[in-house]
Amino acid sequence: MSRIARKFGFYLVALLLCSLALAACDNNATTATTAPTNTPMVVGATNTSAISGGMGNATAEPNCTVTASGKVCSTFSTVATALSGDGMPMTGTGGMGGGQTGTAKIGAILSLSGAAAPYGTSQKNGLEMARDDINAMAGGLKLELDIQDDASKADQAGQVMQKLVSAKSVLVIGPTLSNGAFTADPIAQQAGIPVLAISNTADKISGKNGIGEYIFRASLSERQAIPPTIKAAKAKLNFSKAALLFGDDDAFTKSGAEVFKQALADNGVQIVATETYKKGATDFSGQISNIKAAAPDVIVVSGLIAEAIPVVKQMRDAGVTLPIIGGNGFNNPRLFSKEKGAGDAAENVIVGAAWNIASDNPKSADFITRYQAKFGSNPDQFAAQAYTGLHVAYFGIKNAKSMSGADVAAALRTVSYNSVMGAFKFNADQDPDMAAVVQIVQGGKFAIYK
Amino acid sequence: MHWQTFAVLDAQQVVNGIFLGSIYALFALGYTLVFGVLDILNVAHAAIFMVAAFAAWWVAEAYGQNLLVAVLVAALVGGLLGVLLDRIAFWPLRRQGAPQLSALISSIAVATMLEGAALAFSHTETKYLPAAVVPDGRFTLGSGTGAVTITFAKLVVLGTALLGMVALTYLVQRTRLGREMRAVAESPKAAALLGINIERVIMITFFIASALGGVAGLLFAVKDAPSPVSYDMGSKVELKGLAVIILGGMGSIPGSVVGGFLLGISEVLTIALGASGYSDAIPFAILFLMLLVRPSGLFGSRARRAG
Repeated sequence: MSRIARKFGFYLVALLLCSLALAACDNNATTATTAPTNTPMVVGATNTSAISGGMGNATAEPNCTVTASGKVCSTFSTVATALSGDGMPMTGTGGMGGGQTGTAKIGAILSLSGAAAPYGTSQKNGLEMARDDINAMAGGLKLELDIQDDASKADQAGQVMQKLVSAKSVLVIGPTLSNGAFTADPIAQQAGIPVLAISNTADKISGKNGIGEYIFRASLSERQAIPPTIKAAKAKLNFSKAALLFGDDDAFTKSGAEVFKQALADNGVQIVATETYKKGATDFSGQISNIKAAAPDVIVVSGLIAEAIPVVKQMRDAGVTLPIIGGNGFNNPRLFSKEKGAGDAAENVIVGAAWNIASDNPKSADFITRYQAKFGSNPDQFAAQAYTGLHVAYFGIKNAKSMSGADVAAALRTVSYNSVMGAFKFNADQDPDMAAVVQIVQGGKFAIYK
Repeated sequence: MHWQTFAVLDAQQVVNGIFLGSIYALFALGYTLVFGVLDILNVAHAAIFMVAAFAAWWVAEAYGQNLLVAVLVAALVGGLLGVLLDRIAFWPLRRQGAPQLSALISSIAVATMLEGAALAFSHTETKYLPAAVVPDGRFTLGSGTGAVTITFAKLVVLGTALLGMVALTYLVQRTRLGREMRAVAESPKAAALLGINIERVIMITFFIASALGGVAGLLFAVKDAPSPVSYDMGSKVELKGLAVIILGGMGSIPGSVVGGFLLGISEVLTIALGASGYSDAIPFAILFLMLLVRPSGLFGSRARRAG
């Protein structure tokens, strides 16, 4: 009898210890959010856990001093005032009541490793630069950014979202891939925590007609970007037959393909060949041969950057000189990189985007200069959307009645902000109310398609 | 699926299949050689395939951007890894007279470790061979719908693969070393009685087999623009390699060659028929049929190992 009692006792003690440990962990999470402004916390403190993309982009710590109203960073303080004093109000208006102060914990799920790492590392840069700019502004509300890696995997995105939700994040940014969003966002929706996507462009993600009313998007969806792209390309190139190539195992590429099909049909273009591939494919010779045999006038591709690059290069290697129109996955400068991309083969590829580096928005030029100084390379659309997204989140939280999910979501819906991509506000679907810009790759960069 | 006319067997698709098949054949040669001589299924062969490609990438990035150098590096690194693999994973088990299954599991363990090392080294990033390593340019034969466009890179891949096959066949059939390898394959005990140094033959076998596997890895990267090398590239070929040696007959060199090309062509034809989602499944379906009809494979006729 005593032996059984001893065994039972052992397990009981083990169970007690585990629950104590878990409770302790949970407490640590909650104390962080209630810390007052004056504690020299968080600016520059990011948790980049898991494998980083190995990009080695060290963010330089600006010269910061702790003042009565929080940290003021001298590298940015003049610029921050310049931004707000140049006639374009840096304030976000909207929301009833508001004026939240303190520190808001914002989680971010980015693909810092895996196939989508080229997007994720851009986004990390954009978010970190936005966080530094925001925390340098006066106003009493600071943001603490907790960046997590989902390794481009949907199930990992779900696990990370669970972690961020349990850690009581005020808002979650991301995940990078729509594929991950379909797994992760329902968790936040269920928990009543707002999610702001900065690169999801598939259908049925944001708003009540998507995953739920807590899901917002700062990225232009394929449904907003593709139709004007097809229209502009058709007006210039006058094609009537198209071949469609897309990945059939990813939510984004599949959704993009559907949008392409509809846009082509709406413009009177017949699809003469439809080819598919799976993620990780490196040999597209079979699909390319089929496409050649069908004799289209234009090739339309809905793919992520890891497949977009070999597709474009192998098309040109196979002697196909037809114009290529890509979806949002093509919006990465790696597309035309000579070492890691398709190089010259990417010339004249057409892509619709939310932002172009040649944009004449006055805030854009300043953003580009400072990004170059900080990271040593040009920003791309993903960095611009990340930078915009964190600002939108900031104003949403600032103007909210409280930091609860429902109040933040309500405030987000009425945010109005002059971003580097132009005037930003959400439409009824909780997508950005903005127009797409059609681009063409020329001279090894994205130029505006005229 | 869309049904085209017999243009589906158009020359370009067949040529695509030949290029793909040459890699499968070269890879399977190493597999089948080790199986033939030692009756071991070396699952780590695909991992060596991948590590040798990484080594060639690293050397090309750091030192010289020359395809010949890259091939030699891949062969050398592959071969040395193979010898190391034998010493660490197989020889201790051989000494103890452990069952074949232990060797298989041991090779799985090494494969997993090598993949983990590559994952850590590359941070899951795909690396690309420098442009100067890969031959540039292409040419087109014929014109119109029957035209076939071939890149020089793919031609080099095919040429190197064929060279490897020819060299190996010559080695095994015409040299003394080859005779010794065939003797050990037939019966290690009898070969030992005849004065053949078994361990030396085994070591050389592993070196050659893994060198071929390493070269196959490099060529696999070179074949598909823009020449990606990633930690998971082994998983793309390992099952196909197994299918090839079963199809062609385990332990048969001509079997690997024919099986490799057959598999490559069937895979591309599946895509040509519009069922690209099944491009992995159909070759295995063919393999399955082969097992039902002729289990020993196309060229397989080996008697049981005499021991």
